[in-house]
Amino acid sequence: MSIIEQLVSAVGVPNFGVLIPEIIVLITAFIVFFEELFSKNRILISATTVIGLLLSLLSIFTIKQGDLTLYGLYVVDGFSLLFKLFLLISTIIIVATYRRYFESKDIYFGEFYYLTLFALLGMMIMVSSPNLFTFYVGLELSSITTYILVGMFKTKNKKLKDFDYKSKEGAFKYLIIGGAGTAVISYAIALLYGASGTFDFMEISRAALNDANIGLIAGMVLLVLGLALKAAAVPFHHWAPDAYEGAPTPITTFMAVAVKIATFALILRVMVEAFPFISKDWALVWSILAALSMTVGNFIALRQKSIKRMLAYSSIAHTGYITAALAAPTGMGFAAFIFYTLVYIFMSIGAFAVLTFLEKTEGWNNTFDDFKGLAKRSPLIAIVMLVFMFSLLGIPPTVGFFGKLGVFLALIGSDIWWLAVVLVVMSIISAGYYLRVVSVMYMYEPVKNISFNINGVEKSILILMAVIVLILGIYPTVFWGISTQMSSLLIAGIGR
Amino acid sequence: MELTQIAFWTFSTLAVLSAIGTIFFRNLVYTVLSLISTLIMVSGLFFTMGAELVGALQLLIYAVAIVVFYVLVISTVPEFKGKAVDPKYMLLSIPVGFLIFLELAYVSIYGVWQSNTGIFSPEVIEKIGNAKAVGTMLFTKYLFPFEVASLILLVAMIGAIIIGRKEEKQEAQG
Repeated sequence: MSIIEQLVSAVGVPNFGVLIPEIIVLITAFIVFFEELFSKNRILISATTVIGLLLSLLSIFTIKQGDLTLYGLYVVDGFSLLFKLFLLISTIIIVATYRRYFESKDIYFGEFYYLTLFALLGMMIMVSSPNLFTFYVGLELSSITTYILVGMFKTKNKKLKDFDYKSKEGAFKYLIIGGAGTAVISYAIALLYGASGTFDFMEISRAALNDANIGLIAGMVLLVLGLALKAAAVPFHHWAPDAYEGAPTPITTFMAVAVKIATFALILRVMVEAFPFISKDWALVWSILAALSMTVGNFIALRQKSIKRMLAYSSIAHTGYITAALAAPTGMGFAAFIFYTLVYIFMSIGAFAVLTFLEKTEGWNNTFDDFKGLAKRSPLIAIVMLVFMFSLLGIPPTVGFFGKLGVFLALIGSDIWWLAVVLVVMSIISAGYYLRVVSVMYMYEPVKNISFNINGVEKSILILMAVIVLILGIYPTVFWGISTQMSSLLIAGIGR
Repeated sequence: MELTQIAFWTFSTLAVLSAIGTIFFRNLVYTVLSLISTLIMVSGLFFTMGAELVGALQLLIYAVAIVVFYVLVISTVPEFKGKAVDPKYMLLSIPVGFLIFLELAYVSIYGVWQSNTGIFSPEVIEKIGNAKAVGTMLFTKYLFPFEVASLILLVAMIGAIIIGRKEEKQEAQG
């Protein structure tokens, strides 16, 4: 009996104080779930979701002291709190764009809200996992929820049946390829456990320091490939354009922003905490994946007719830019990684939100032809779209420039010139499609005469995002400071 | 001969016989039935060796859940697609199968040798039992992933219902 007693007496009660944000999100999800059953009041459902998210956001600031809780399976530190904060902020903004889009398309309603909350919970678990177990269940919770969200373009409007079909197609591709990614990650975890005898990141890093055998390296490479699939890096990107195009546009925003930054945060934590002593190996794998993503993503984006699909390829290219920072496994590289991930939120939400708002207009399909002469019909939307396009392209004074500059400097600092050159050349090529949007908006006459249906909240979201992109572009010091601090915190945690 | 020994020989003989049946029956339904028989016999073997938890899981997961899937698949596949092919690849498959058998045998024996470390030594297991050892770990240290897994199942169920729901019915209701 003694072993059992020893175990149980040693575990104690988990520190629920640091879990409050997650608990609030979970409770809100269940409240919305039951509200949806008993009342179809759309404003009530959206308001509950936003209030729950805001409460969760505020509760993050009450956590003074980080902790390793739930018996070593859940870590709450500066890094995870920072990413939870930004995940919550971006989810609040995205959820605010839900209601009017779904009403205009006659799609299902309440389901989107609680599924988004469940996905958010999965991502919050992902970013604070110190252990392969937590990492795996968090990743699964968020991915499975996202597969469902992609396939939910179920509309009563007979004219939109094509979209319904495309959404199912995208969800099915995402499900199959994402499932393959999960299988690869499981196999990687099995190999890592076999080689090191533990699931804990820190102990894996110790095992790698003592004896980096072939099983451990193989497990690490498979883990990198599985995570690259989840982050849509080339050559594992084939699900992304179809899933992004098929999903309802607010869900595309959610995938391109929240799911992506959570995956990046997870990638950084796994790489730095679990494999710090074999960083040369994973830096090589990431540099190849990044170069491929930048090249393929940008070249295919040049040929797109739909702006939504073009932005999907641009998001693949951005996976390349961001993971290029991992090719330089230094404090500078990690800081550039975190900085680009954080600023990518604002430009990406902005660009996709423009599509969301315009798509409510009947007959609008987000093609380049639809955008012709947008500046004459709605100068405000055209100017914010211009800011987001310049930022995605990386032209000063927008913040995208500093994101790319940080990655570039990190690469040069580690003498990885070839990748730095690829980054610059590919950024120039990407001008081909980002500037095409701008030229179509400003240099053509309007073809159709449509009036847009955009209210004050939506306008203020767009203006807010554009202003943040510009302000950060002029004064990036605060964000750069946070990123540097987080990267040194991660590095200080090695071998804790 | 002791009772456990009799049970062991009975279970293992039947397991081998039904395994052979699984391979050589040419009717799909017979194959699946002998597969069930194999799985039940193997779980009986686990019980005789004192691994009652693994035996119960084998019964619950393999013999019930997975075989039910096989039966469902067989009932939906058209009959002509379920016909057995002529064993002309035997020449290739026997050596490859033998190699895979050797590998599995090596890994299993090596694994048994290696896994006798850690806090749950054979003596402790003998004292408290398998189910209790696994349960202790599952409901203390690994409680959190266990709970999240239940959330994943809930979400998957909701998704299956939402995506599988018929559209026409909805419109009729309002």
